[in-house]
Amino acid sequence: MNVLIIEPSDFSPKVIFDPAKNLFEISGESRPENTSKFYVPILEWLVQYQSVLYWEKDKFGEGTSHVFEFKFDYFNSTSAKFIMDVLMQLDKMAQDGFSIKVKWYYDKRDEDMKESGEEFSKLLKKLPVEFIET
Amino acid sequence: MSKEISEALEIHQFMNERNVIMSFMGELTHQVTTSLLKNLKDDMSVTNVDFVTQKRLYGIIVECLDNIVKHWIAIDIKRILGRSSPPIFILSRHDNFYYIITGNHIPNDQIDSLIKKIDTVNALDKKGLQEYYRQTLAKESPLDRDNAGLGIIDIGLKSGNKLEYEFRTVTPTVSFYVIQAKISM
Repeated sequence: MNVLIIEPSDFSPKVIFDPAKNLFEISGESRPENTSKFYVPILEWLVQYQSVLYWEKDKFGEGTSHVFEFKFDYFNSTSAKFIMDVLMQLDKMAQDGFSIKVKWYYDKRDEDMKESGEEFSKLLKKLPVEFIET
Repeated sequence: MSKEISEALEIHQFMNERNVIMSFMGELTHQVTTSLLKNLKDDMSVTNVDFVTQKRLYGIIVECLDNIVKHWIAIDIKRILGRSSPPIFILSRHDNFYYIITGNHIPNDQIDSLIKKIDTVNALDKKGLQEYYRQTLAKESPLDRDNAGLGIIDIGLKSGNKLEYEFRTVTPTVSFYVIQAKISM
């Protein structure tokens, strides 16, 4: 499975999904000019990765645990909908029995970022979300 | 003194009296928005307030500017009016509040739903707004994804104050829409 790397800009976050290193991270500011164009490749990558996980599970039994780290400084409301889609996809994988967890980082002064994460997590069925103050 | 200079002095005096921190009138693209936001991040009159207010103010301004960009793309106002009539953005500070005002043209057939949305936001407290935000977030609306309706709710949540608005009919199909959000310093 290829590594997904998206370099950050003044208005879009850095994304590193690297299965070989078991590193999955989104960080920075998210208000892309075309939000759909930015997030759809991330969602497509996750769908593909889910297929790989099924294959690995069939072949080797239980797979590795995954921690997806969300380290946003800021995201606009249009991004929120797509971040929800990313979390929903991870939730689907968790519901299918894969060991997936989310770590939601927030600045200790930024109660709003924590609350946003809590709102997201209320809409998830199985995906555990750990809140980490920085 | 020419009429133009006299008018410029009046505008300057008015903006000075109203403690205008930043204003922009012109074609608002994503690039222009990014440039305005960069300036805002460096502006001492904003950076010397507490972290939470700064972040909320930033969030409100992003949502307001994003809305203008969406409407700006959607309406060919030059064709409708026969002349250019760009949107406006004003950030000012007085009486212990930051005021964020934007004005732009919108199609008349969008006014009713917009009024309904703003009035709903104004009628809710923080807990109600969070619930409304969550409900809107959960709605499956892929075709409406770039206009998910979360923006106004997010502005209401971050502002902590009622939003004020005004619609001025310009033509049978288009109105000028002004919205004001304010946040305590």
